[in-house]
Amino acid sequence: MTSDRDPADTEPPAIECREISKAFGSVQALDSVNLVLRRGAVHALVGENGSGKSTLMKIIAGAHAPDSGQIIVNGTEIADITPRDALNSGVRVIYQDLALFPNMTVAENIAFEGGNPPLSKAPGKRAILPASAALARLGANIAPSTRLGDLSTAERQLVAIARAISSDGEIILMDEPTAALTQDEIDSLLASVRTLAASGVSFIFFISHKLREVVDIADDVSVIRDGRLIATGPASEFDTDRISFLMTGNQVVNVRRTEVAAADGEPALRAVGLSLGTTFQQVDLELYPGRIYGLSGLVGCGKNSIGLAIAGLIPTEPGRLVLHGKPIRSARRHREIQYVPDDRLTEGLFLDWSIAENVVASSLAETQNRAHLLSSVRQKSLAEDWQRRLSIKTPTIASPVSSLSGGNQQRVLLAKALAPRPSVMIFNNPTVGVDVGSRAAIHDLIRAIANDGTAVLLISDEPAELLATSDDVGFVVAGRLRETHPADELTEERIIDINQSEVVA
Amino acid sequence: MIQRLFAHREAVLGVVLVVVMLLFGALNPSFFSAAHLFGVARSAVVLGIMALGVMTVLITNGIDISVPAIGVVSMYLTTVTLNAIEFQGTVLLAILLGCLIGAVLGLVNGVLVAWLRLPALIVTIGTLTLYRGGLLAFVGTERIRELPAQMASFGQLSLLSLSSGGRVASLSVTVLIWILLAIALSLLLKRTWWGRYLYAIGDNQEAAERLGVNADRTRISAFVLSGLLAGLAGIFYASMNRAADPSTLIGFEMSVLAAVVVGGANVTGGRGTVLGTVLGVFLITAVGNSLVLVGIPSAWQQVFVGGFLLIGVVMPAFRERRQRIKRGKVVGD
Repeated sequence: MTSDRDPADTEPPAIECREISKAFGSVQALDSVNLVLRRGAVHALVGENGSGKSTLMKIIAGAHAPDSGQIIVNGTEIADITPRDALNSGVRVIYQDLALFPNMTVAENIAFEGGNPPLSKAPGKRAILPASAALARLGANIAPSTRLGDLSTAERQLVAIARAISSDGEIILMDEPTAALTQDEIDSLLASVRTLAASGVSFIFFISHKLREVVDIADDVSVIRDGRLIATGPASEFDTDRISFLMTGNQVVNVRRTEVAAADGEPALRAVGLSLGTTFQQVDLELYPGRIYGLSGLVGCGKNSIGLAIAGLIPTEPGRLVLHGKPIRSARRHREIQYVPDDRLTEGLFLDWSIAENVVASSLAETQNRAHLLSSVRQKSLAEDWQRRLSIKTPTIASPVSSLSGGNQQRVLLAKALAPRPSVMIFNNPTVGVDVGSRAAIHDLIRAIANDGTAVLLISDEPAELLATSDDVGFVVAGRLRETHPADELTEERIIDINQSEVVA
Repeated sequence: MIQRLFAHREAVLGVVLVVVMLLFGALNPSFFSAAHLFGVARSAVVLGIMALGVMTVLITNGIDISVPAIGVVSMYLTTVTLNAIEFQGTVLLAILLGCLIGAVLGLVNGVLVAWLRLPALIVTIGTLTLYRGGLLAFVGTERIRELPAQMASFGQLSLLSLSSGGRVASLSVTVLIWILLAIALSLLLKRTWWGRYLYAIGDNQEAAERLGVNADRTRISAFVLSGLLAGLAGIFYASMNRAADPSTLIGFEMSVLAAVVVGGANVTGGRGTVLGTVLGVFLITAVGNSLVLVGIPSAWQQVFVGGFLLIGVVMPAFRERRQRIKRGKVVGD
């Protein structure tokens, strides 16, 4: 460990990432990211979930290989970095769960290392001294013989840091270090981190919440969004407002739809004077095959209920739904109308069931054999078909849905809705809680569904999403469908303006 | 280190054991006769050896119900084999063979649980029935009374003989072997990385794997050890009873489990000590063997076994719950 010999600027940075790019399939998770971690500095890397933060963390830790770019650790480039290389260069990752053992003592936790010959001697009392030393470097007042499970979250975090430095870690990546801490605990963590930084240990904090603390904790701040590093500099140049603006800022507007089917002929589904108590009244709308109708409105305006009513999931008062020219009482029994809820975890998926079982759940009739019994062969082939079409990333469709990432869970939900080949699809905020890459993929998919001739109703809280996918946008204000505009006459600002102004009016 | 942390549980257990013994002694003074105490120690051996293995599995957050079946298979197969070749040599061969058979059966358990990620409880309930059923179906149902001579005499070897009132009370050599095994296992668990890894995968498997522990191999090693010790216990059982009966030790898994759990091994993994287990074994055996002495029908033994099992499971859960309330809910993300 070379520490406090030279002033910081003459030493090479602890880590330098040059032009790091990484794509997963068609998704650009990181796009030419440059990041410099100065020795002995605390660097906050801020970004929303799905911004590419964790991909960058995994690349520095050697868990993912970048598609292009260089990682330079302590002045030497490491080509094709592996977890072992990262470890040997002093890089330590502390994940949010801390990876500690509650039933062991603090000393045993700090001394723990995997991969030793099983019958070799493990340090017993000898572990106490190095553990005390590591804790002392942190300025932490924790007895090494305490059972870890008796410590608070903040103290456990210090133990995790002590383990990292006692194994000669000098570049520490911490995932959401402040997320579970109180203000006092953050202050004391900061004090420990400062002490260590003074002795040459460098930190990167990966943060998506609690922005207020970022400026206090960090020497340098970088903001990452949609895989791009959009700002970096000394913490003094940032404040909470600027950071949150940079994090969420102007979303990149996707390409709008071109070549849209004309809104003529018979609508696939027509609502005439649809009402439900005081929730919404006299809603008239027409969904045409091949077109996407966006529904915008403030939270609580009734747009979600309109979607549920059209899907037949809540009963409606007098009013009529006309499906392909035929009046129907409710869409409930019509598999031609499929609804994709926003809360996929509680409303949309059987989390413990396999992917295959989820996909075929709404099209079991199609998987019957001649004896009208469910055929497992047909179920499997149907599920595999949809796995391929929606490129659900999983080793096997037999694994439970709960094992998938958010984006892939959403694809399973979509597959389940699409499998019965509906002529009307209703989406409620289809990209809530989905990372950037999956988001774009889901938008592509919605467009593709429309191109196949399905009529789509897209309910969304995000202006950018409505613009990227819709052909027409209807505005719901206080339970009434006020006006409809072609999407190409709208901008994000205009959508926000209409929603806001109507409230005032 | 780990032992010191759980000294609390072992101290409690020690006190309970002493109280129980004093109680029995007060009700019937012959409880404290050398003959009875040696008898308790002797009948603790089979339970005790099996409990050491099951405790090791429990540390890894697993469970092994199949040990009595493994013990019976190893003792019966060994006896049949040695009788078939009319082997009259050293007892060590019988012990070796028994351990080997046990280890192989334990390996099957371990592979099913670790590689196929099956729940240990169901797997070992299955193998418990399968091993014993297989023995009865393919090898034999007859009780064998003629053991190889060395094997039969080994069980009667005496470490220490006291004669009182015309009766001779002798302490079996097997007791010493059990205690030596316990000390050896205790050292392995406390002093080697293997022991540390067992606790680690039982405590937080994901963390252990992230830090480079081969969780599958570690888990399998625990099941192999459990099988090996069960095989050894089976040989001891046959030796001490001078017979190999394929239909014995039925329901014995509950006593083993009760001893281990009351001894402080946690069914949720990551905890357990040899000392606690040995004390648990003595408690279960002392109570079970002495009921008749104080005039309680022996049918009550099952009530005690079940009671100890539940107490052993409830105590840590209760403590955990109290701590959780005291500490307040841990705030997540």
